Amino acid sequence: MTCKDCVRNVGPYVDGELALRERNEVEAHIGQCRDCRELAEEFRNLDRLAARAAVPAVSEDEWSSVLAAATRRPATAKQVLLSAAKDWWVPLLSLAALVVLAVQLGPALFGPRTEEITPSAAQTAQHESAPLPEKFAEESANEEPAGGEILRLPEEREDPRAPRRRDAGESDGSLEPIDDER
Amino acid sequence: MFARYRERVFRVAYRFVRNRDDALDITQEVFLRVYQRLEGFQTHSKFYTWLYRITVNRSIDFLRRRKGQPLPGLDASRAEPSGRTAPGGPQALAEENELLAILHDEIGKLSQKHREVFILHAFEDLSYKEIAAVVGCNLGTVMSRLFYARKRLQEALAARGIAPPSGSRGCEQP
Repeated sequence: MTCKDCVRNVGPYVDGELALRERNEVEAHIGQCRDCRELAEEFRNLDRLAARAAVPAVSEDEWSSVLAAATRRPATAKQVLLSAAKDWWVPLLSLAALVVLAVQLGPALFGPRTEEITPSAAQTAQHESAPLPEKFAEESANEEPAGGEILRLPEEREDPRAPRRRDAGESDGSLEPIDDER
Repeated sequence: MFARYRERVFRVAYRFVRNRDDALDITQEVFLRVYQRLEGFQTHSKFYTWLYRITVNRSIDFLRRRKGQPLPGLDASRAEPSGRTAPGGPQALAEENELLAILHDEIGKLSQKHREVFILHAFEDLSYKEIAAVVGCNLGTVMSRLFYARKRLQEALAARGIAPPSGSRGCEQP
């Protein structure tokens, strides 16, 4: 057996995969060839090292979880649709209904109420142009309303210290100076 | 069935992905598929060969999905079953763990075809015939891939200045 043949067979030899006749041939060769013998030993050492490699431990609880997940029945199409409806369509339809309600009832509930009692400009004009009843027409002719003096708010009263306005005929556009000593 | 084969599936998945949680996820996927397709199982082939094939395929799919992401480190902290010892004591155990981590690194650098053959042989101790059935090739291809996987691992370890320690069996030649 040549080294080339031996190299091809040294792996199966180490692994016990050779037939008896081939195994004897390889053994005969590596007994005389140092390189092939070392190659066989390297392969053995590598396998020996790999055999020492451990795997992490898994608890029974974890195995139970894996089994439960693996044996869970796949959802049917109907279940998938129902699940999708539950997840998306129901909230979406609820929101749409809420929007419709808000549009319909919003102005009635929260709209401005003054429009209902404020007369329009046309109504006001019509009201002013209409003839007053006789009783109110007499009062309107007097400068002062019937029933007494004109009440003025304090802010509207003339300030005695304020410069007096001249009559329209005397006005020159300026104010009369105030005589503080007076 | 689950109790009987769960360890094998998890072990193979872990050798591929090198992460405990990912290996558990793959184990779950494998059994999910097994339960779905158990009726279509061909009885003339061994069940565990079929199971190994699914596990290898799912693990490779997982690695493809994870491609581009950094390879996780070996779960060394959790990879040690209680009671495991090395002949030389704690220091020898630490050195061996480091050596195993390097070996796993180098296994991860192998091509997919070489890696799957080496894992099924070295860690699962499958025969050449069984490996051929799992990966779907002939015996000669298994021998060839296994030879090159071993040579590359051996060279990679030697390049790092590491040689796998000789075992107690030593060379069987006279």
